Amino acid sequence: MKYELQAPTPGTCRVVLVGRADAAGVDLIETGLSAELRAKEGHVVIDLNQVPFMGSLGIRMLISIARLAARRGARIAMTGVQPQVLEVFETMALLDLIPHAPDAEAALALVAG
Amino acid sequence: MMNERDDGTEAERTMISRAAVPTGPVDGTLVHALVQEADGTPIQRHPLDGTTLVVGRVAPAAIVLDGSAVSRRHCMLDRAGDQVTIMDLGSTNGTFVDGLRILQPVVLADGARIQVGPHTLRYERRRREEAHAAASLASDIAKARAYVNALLPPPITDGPVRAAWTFQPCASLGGDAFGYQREGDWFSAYILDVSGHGVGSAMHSVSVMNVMRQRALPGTDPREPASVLAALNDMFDMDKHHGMYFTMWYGVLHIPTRRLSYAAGGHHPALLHASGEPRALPGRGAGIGTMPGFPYRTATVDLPAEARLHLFSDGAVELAEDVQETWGMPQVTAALCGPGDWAQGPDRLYQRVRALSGQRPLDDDFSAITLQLG
Repeated sequence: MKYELQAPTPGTCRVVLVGRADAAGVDLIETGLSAELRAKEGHVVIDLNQVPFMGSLGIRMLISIARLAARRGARIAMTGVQPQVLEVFETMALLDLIPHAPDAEAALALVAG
Repeated sequence: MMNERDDGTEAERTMISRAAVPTGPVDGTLVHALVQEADGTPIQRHPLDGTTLVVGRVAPAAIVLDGSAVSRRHCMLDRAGDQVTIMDLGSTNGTFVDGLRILQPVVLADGARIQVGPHTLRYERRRREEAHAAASLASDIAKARAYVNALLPPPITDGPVRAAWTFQPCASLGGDAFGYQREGDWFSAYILDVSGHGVGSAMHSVSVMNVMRQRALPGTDPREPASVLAALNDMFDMDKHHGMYFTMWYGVLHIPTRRLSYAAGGHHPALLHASGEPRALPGRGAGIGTMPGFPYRTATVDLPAEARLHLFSDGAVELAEDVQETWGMPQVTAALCGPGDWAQGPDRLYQRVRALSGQRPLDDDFSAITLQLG
């Protein structure tokens, strides 16, 4: 699994995740991603267009990012959630915590308030 | 392909040895071992101390593996200094290294996976101190596995609600747990799956099991599923438990009326199998510990006489990437609800998962429970 941090607008960080978010994949990126996000400020958009599978540790990583954003008063949204992943998120009510936007532009609008 | 029958009368078996803890000074020398992982049993670590070691179906092979696909003398490992070579000994079904059948001696790289019949052995080359730590961890995992097993309820073979289950922890422990109990006219059951693997996840699942066994949720009516999940969600906030959360399904059956009340916290839906087609009982709710104050909801359904209820964990549904495309809820449902003895449903499902996974060790715990009414 890989990740990339982008700055689509001032004050917003886009996290692009790539690959299966299973135990092995999450283990590769979680520490580095958390450290980089802690050093940033502003709202967060998580791009899941290239994530075909989300296991329990992947969900834990998303929740940790959401809690980090909440602690510093920032907003968070997701975009590009694949149908099979969306089903898991709906079962877990994860969309109550991290709202899902249909595309990148809508996600930016969501966090901009 | 089957091996030719041997004419000997010796019993086929897997020889179990205790985890070998490397001895000697911590001096940075390399320790070589074959690591055997199998579902439901502790990791076995076979040290390569001598110059050669034979793997086969019967003694005097140093590593004895059962199964008709294993030849009496299947393959041999030869160690020269810190280089280990493997060669096939003319076995019927072949020896595979990282998925390729070997036709001549092959030098093993650290982490190479050796397939002998249905068994997988991993070659491991570590510094002595690292091997010490690995053996110690394997011992801790074995103890945690035994503890989880000791807390699981026995199957129920008679009465208004019978229960059968299959639980196969993965080598590293996946944090699955379940339980059920009857109190008068009420029968409650749950299944949970802690995020992550290892001793920490197993400890977390054991904590929850003990709370459930002892009814240790203050001010909570165990006959009200939503309040049970809400209390657990409050008690096991992931920020206070090393970032761990768990998914859970909890249900309570009023036996005289066969009315089932249930709630789900991010877990797979239960499958209800009665006279018609099996159907999933929908349930939506936050994973336990992920969202403080989440408003869980209790749903109710009236079960027909002789209905069956199936509960299962991630390990029954989520398989390795290369086989996942051919596996999903329709296949899980078919295995659990297919013809045959109801009590064999969980094991039928496990055998299907194992077969589809090519008998490789599973990446996650496997748990499946069937409750049979009437």
